[in-house]
Amino acid sequence: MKTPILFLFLLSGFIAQQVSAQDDLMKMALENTDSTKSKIISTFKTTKLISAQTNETVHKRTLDFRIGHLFGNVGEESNGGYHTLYGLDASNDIRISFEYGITDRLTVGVSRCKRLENLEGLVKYRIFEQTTDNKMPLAVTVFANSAISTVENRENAVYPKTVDRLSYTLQLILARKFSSHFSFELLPTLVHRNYVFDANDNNDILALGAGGRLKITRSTSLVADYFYNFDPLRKPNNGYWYNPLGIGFEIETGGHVFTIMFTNAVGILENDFIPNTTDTWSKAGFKFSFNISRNFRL
Amino acid sequence: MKTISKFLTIILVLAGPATNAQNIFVCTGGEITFFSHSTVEDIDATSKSMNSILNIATGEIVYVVPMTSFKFKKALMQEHFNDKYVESDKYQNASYKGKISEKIDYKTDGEHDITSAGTLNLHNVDKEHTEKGKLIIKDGIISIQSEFKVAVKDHKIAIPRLLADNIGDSVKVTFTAKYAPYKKDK
Repeated sequence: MKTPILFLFLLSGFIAQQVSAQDDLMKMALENTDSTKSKIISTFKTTKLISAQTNETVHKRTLDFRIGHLFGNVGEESNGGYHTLYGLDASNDIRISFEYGITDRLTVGVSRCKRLENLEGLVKYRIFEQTTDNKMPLAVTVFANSAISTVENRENAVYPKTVDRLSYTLQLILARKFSSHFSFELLPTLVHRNYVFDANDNNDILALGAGGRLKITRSTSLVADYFYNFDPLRKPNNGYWYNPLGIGFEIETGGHVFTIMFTNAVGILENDFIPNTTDTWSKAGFKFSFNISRNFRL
Repeated sequence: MKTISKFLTIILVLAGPATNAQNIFVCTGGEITFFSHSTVEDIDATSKSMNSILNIATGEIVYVVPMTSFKFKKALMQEHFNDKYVESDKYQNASYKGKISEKIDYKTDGEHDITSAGTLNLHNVDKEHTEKGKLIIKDGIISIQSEFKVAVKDHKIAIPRLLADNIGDSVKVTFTAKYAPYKKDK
């Protein structure tokens, strides 16, 4: 009868001894600390990779001013070559955009693209964020835009009504940061065009984008993205349309992100490059391109 | 047997106060701020998630603060802090293990100047620190305040040359921790 009591006394003495050492105090302190529940940050460095959006949104009360420039095709076969200094004399597309973070999750923006004279309004919302404890293994962001093409009507290219000039993109961005060096994303995308000039063409186009970032140093990364088109007319080897593929190099300095890249995409806007890319890497139909992003805190 | 058990009980009761859980005081949600001054900009961030445990019998004290709990005024700065400088995904916490050298009567109210010698672990690099602070006992509640400097270089936190003007070489850290007796059932 006495032995269990003795045992308990010894045990309690033992437990008390345990918490006296610094390391055990540290263990106790760590138990109270929930640093494991935090959200994963910086899956990507900025809101776009090359052509693809990322799951990142603009921080609250911050304005992201972006300039995207897409030069002409590099190869002679694709109207580039020596006389355009391998595309540098041509500018296929220029996009200037202002994106503003209303909250850390909600971004709204406007942009102008040179190609098709598109004026775009966009909204982006972070639905889920990846967590360090992997209870939420993915970051999920939704992106939507609508754009109006203000080009003049020409022969074979007449929009019957003003609403015909509108096009839309709806995109889900599923991203995961696998390690501090590697992030990957998938982007199921629907592009809807109110009007298409060719009666055989489809108004709705479904595509799946994929993109990744491989960090090289603390401030530089290799980036790449690709869009696979599910549209029956745009299946591989159709001989006219191609899937856009871009590879690039990203440099981040405090407040700026520069991306220099090569891509066969014809435009910068989803509503344009997903249905309209007719250049191919195999005929040197890729272009030099760059993006500059500057963040201003308002 | 009876004698031995009595003897041991007495020993344990006598030895108890030195090592007993009663001597453990816990602080959760302490406030810690760091401040860096440079000619270009001032950077400051605050966390209200610092945990600390104090053993009043031995003077041993530990602190833990999750790096991602530091809130900055500029969100982009917070992102860079975690992603590029302290690498919060790899090294989640900053911690300190030390020992208060002064003998303090914790049963009576009062203010004491204290010195703690120990090790600061930040960015997974240890650095010895002997720092001064103030310990206040009022109505059974212990609180500790301190201010000290941490050199960014000591913890292998590299700042790119381009941004060297924006971030000060040393960072001033201040904190306040309030302690309550440890409750086992928590």
